[in-house]
Amino acid sequence: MTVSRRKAMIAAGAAGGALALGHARAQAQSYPSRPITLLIPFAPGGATDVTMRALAKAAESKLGQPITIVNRPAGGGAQAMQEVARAAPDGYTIMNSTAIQFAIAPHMREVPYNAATDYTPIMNYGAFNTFIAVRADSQFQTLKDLTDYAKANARVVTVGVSVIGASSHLGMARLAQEAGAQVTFVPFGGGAPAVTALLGRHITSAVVSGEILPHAASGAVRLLGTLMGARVPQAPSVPTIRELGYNWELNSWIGVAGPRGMPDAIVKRLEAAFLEAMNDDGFKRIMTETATATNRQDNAAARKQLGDDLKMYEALLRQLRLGRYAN
Amino acid sequence: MDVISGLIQGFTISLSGANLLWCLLGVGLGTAVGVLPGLGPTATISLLLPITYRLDATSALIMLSGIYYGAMYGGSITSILVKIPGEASSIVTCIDGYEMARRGRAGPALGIAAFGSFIAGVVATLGIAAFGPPLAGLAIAFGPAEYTALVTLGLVLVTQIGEGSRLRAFLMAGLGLLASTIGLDPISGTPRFTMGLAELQDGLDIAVLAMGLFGVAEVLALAAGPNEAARALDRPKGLRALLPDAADWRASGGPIARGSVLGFVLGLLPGGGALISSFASYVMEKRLAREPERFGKGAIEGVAGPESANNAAAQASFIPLLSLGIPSNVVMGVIIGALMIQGIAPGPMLVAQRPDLFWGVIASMLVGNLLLLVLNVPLLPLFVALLRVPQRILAPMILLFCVVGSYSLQNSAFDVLLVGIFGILGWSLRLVKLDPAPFMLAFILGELFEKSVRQALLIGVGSPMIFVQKPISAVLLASAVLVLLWPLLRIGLGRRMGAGV
Repeated sequence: MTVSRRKAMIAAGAAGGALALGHARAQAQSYPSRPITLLIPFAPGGATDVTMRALAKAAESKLGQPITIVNRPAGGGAQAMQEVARAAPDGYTIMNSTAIQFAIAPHMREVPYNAATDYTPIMNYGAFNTFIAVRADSQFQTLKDLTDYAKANARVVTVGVSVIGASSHLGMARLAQEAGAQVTFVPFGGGAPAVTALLGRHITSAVVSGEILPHAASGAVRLLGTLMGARVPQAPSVPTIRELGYNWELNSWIGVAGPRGMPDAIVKRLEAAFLEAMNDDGFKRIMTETATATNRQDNAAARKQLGDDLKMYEALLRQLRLGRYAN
Repeated sequence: MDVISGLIQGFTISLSGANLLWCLLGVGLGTAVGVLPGLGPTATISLLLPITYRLDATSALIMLSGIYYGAMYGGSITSILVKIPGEASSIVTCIDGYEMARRGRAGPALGIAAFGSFIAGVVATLGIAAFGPPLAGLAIAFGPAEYTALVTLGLVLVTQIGEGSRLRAFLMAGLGLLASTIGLDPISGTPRFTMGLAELQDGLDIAVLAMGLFGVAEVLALAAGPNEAARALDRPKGLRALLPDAADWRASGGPIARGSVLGFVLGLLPGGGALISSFASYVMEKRLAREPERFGKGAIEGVAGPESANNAAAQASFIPLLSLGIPSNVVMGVIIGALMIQGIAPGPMLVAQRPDLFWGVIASMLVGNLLLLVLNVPLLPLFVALLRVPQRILAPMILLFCVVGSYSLQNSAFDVLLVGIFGILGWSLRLVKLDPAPFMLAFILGELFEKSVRQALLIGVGSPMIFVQKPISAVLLASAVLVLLWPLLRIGLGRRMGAGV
């Protein structure tokens, strides 16, 4: 979209918004009076899709209206992002939001949306687990063993990740940089193939999500740490990155957002419904079984998280000379 | 010993009333899904996932795997009848299967695909019983370097496919490789050749290419061709006339046997194994045939071999899945998700801890293949009757299916546009006698090739020596060179022999 067209649309939106304000207030009182459409920018079947569907199902009874799920994975989710950015801010079109599309993608490449201004964050419910794993017979017993070795032997340690620019990759890159270690990242296009390569001794370590847990349980791999702020219930003995002496943590959040300019009353209604839905047993079960971390962030926290992350990832990617800052 | 009792236990479980029903439901759904282009097994399994929460783990897995290989079979139905490959692994089936249908032999083609799949299923089950879960080790022995070598061999085989000259096949394979680079760079994540379109970020979808280059191109060719009132097909005299006859069986016996073994071995490799097995089988049969020129003109061996291979591969891929927790494709990834929801972690302990699950599922695949046979053979006259629908009705219907199918892939109208573009491209290619099959196969392999080469080089810190230092990789690369040089070698050998005489 050209700049002038975007400006024109914003102007039109503002004018229309002023006229519609009174109407919107009346609408907010009866909201929701018809089914809500929720776009998921991922293909069906993944952890984000499955957990979002479970949460939406639980929220239906709180809202008194059905929620229609539409998967729109095209363009790495860019199409869903665009569609929601252009939708009316009446609360009937919302989407599943993740740190990947909202906070990282805009710094990795040109995207047809502005994550900072085009959306209204509503709440966050989960986060991707991020573990640093080595094989059980590896010489590295602790994270420090690994970083020390990588410090002494530049680029010899290979780290399997899903893709370059995934939060797992960026988190490990930041960790390595702070530890003064030089590692080689090898992207596998997904967590599962990275785990397979780790088991087959093709790489030294892997920084992946919940798909590693069965292998940790079977004793095939050792988890050196989690990049998250809190220990994970499924692997309680694995230390967090803060416990290992780093002054930050990774929150690869998953939540719900809508278009810019949603009336406060509607945002509050959705926030309350989704937060309440998090207590649903069915939802909790799916979260545990997909090994997705629970990350309860209300509207204020979700807004702050998005703002902070946009700045943090920009600074990090500039430092690592990645994505749009490669040259 | 253990294995025999395991298999017996497996059959007891899979033949119990409820599980038999789930298996039937799975293969029935799978066939339907495979027939409809666009609606693939991944989406179906994902959407049915919530239903499986209520089932016990074995029944759930029996039904989900039924969908998976049912779709494989369904995909071959459309490949043969209307030249739309429902699945990547049935692209090769389009070549001779569709030619057979055009020559009024759709019945034997569909029949041999069903029987071949069943026989391959038996072979694969026996293979699992005989060699068992230790085979899973092969799956993790393959890293980036090994995959690079395997795909190199696959690419060399691709150029042996197709009618016409080797040069044309090389050209099309090269273009397929180029097309596979559209989208995000697999290593750095920067967009390439996307023309600024976010929709092209994920690259081109295989199903979109298949529907365009094969399905829509065929419709265009029909429209441009002479207007036949209906295809000159003899009204078959009953089911018997539709089944493969004695001569068909004599020709297909070898291909089915070789395809089954090949598929079983390659199916153990996650990532491309099943696909490579289907066209490796095709090339092998073409090489072994007494009259290789019949290939591409309706040779039944070209259907029997690849269809057996992809079915054996589908079955074999459950070994790394269940015993190592390694999914060989997206469908398997979703199935792992289903297992984890059941509280079962696939892994080395699964076979020991849940023999009922492991053997139940393995045995159910055999049962499922038999069900497919029982279901589909009586339906053969119906499928074949489809071909007697006049072209002016059939062609728009194929087009309609392609439009609906491509939209439903990602709920995106852009994909429909792409199908149209590739349809016109596919038709133009036909006019200049260029075969789209090597293009498609090279496109699919290209992605895997680029990713593995670059991963291997990252691991080898930039040195290509990694490809020859690893034994599996070295052997595969050597075979690729041998296949490529075979025509030259044969000439050389021939001369020497000639001189000797």
